[in-house]
Amino acid sequence: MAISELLKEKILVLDGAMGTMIQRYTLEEEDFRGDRFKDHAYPLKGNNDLLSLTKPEIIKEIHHAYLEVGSDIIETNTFSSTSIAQADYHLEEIAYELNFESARIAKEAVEEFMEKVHPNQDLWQVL
Amino acid sequence: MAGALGPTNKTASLSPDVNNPGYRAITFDQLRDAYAEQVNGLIDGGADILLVETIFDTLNAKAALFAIQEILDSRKRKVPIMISGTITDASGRTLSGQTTEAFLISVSHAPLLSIGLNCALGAAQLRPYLQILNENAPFFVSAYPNAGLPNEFGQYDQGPEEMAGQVEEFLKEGLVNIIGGCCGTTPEHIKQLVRLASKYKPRKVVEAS
Repeated sequence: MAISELLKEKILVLDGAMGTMIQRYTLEEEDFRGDRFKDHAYPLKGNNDLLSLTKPEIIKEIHHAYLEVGSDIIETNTFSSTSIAQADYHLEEIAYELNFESARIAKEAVEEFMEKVHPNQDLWQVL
Repeated sequence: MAGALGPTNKTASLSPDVNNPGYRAITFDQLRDAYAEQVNGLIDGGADILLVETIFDTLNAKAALFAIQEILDSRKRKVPIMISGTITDASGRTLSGQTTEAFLISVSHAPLLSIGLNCALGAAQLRPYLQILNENAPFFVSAYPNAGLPNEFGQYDQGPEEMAGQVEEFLKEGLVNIIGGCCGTTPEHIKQLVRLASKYKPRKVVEAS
């Protein structure tokens, strides 16, 4: 069913905060850097969107946590994934990749969840 | 799965320099280009919806909407667009000075799935502004408040039950179609909102005037 039809029938529920959940993992500078950015010349701690590349399993786990409690729509981890916002970390060149990977991770989480919980339902039921 | 587009850390209609009010740290075209890159990445990664959120400067959001529409047109794609503004305090205005009504009018040219409000305020403080959208918006209405207001350490203390109690007030009144959580909300908060969402009927969309 198209989302515009679904919205006439029921109140849909978005997820909650990504940042608040990331804080629970008490990540350090090296977690944000991963292997790929270990020699980056500027601090990266606090660049939550970068975790989609360096700690994708955490981002996916948070998506799953929201899907498990009944979120109909989850949001990608891309609040600051423009080249403009990433310029604060001198990472403007990875903006496209951040968005692509974050969307891919969220999509995977939805597909895994649908497979586990509602194998026969239309994907639109969880967005 | 909604691809989220944030406001960026620069604003197209305000100067960051009090001594030079005409100065702008970013232009509409720079924002459009940056958002275009983001939108292409999100769509290529499989986004089912695009959500322009935490809008404190509507001109930034217009650049995002412009980029989205250009890309959807050129790629011949249809992706539902949600947008969500941020009323920063009891003045009832966005950071760039728009009231809720002005914000709604400013973005109504776009073929939106939904318009709503998120961040900055808790559910109780958001209610009067949702009422304005409820009465006027020819789109679905969304709300994802913070877990109350931040304490002196910038942390959000409002628990799931307290937040749910406040959200229930406007679900009862039929003000919204989409509900969720912003800063400080957790799966425990969302679990309560899921329980409430199934109890109440969604808002009926008003016809465009």
